[in-house]
Parts: sequence; structure tokens; C-alpha cells
Amino acid sequence: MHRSTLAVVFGVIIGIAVLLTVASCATWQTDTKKALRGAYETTKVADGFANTIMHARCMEIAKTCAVQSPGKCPKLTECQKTKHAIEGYATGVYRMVITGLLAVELGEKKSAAEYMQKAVQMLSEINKALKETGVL
Amino acid sequence: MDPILMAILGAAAPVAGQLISLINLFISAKQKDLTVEEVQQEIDKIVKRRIDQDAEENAIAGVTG
Repeated sequence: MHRSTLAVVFGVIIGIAVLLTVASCATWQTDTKKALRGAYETTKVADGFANTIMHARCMEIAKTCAVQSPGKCPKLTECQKTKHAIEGYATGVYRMVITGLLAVELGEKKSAAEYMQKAVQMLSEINKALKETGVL
Repeated sequence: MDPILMAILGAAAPVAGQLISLINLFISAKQKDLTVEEVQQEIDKIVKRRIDQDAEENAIAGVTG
């Protein structure tokens, strides 16, 4: 399961790289929007997967605390902090996507490309965070 | 070949089990343009999910505040 999800994440990141370089008859606006959608969809999959794992992990810790030391649970706080950090990366990508979409609407080609690249870079950060926290 | 389809097939190749959901993603991606509102909704969902989940976890652990 973990390895296959890792493959999906890597595959989609590679796919986005293909999107960025593929020669197309479409306008730069269309290409940029497609790449931004790629980043958005990939983040949705990665965030959903990570949250499922992290919520289950935090619930286990909460149950243990309820038995061993009700009312005090520093391990749960730590677990939630990790969960929030991954969510922070996901919302970061979404914010880049939003800004990129707005730049497309304004016809700001250079800015749109920069935000698109930042979104893709942040996807790599999500992947790194998932590995560091043992989710992948 | 369509670049989005290429990207999705590239991702799906080693993961047969994920193929159907990825095809669904492709279909939804082709149906309409991504909008700012759609992305903002995902941020809002994460914020709400965080509050709900933290409350649930804290309640089980008996932690308040």
C-alpha cells in the first residue's frame, strides 16, 4: 500500500513535469491551468492519504492515553502537530494554485509560471514530509 | 496524446488498483476548468476537518482545551 502510494505520488509529479515540458498547440493559459489542476489533484490524493494514516495514528495514541493517563496526553499533541504540518504543506500548494489561477486570469504569464513551479516544488515537500513522518 | 491523460497514465502504470480513481480524476479534470472557488473549498475542508478531528481525538484521550 505504502509503496504503491509512493509510486502514485512520484508518478504524478513526473506527470506534471511532463505537462510542463510538453509541446502543445494550446495557449499558455490552457497549459498553465492544466498543470495547476495536476498539482491540485495530486495534493488532494496525497493529503487524503496522509490524513487517513495520521488520524488513525492519533486516535490510537488517544485511546492509549485514555487508559493510561486520562486528561494528559503529550504524545497526542505531538501527533496532531505532525498531522497539522502535513496539512500546512497541502494548503500551501492550494494557495499557490489559487494565486497561479489568478495570475492566468490577469494574463501575467511569468507570474503564473512561477506560481505553478512553486506549487510543484511544494508537492515535493509533501512527499518529503510523508517519508520523514513514516506515512510513506 | 492529451498531456493530462499522459500524466495520469504515467502515475497509474505501476499501480493498477489506483487506476479507476485516477481515471475519475482525469474525467473530472476534463469536464471543467479548475476554479479559485474549487481550490478554496479544499482549504476550507482541511480547516474544518482539523477542528473536528482534533476535537474527536482530544475527547477520546480525555484532554480538554
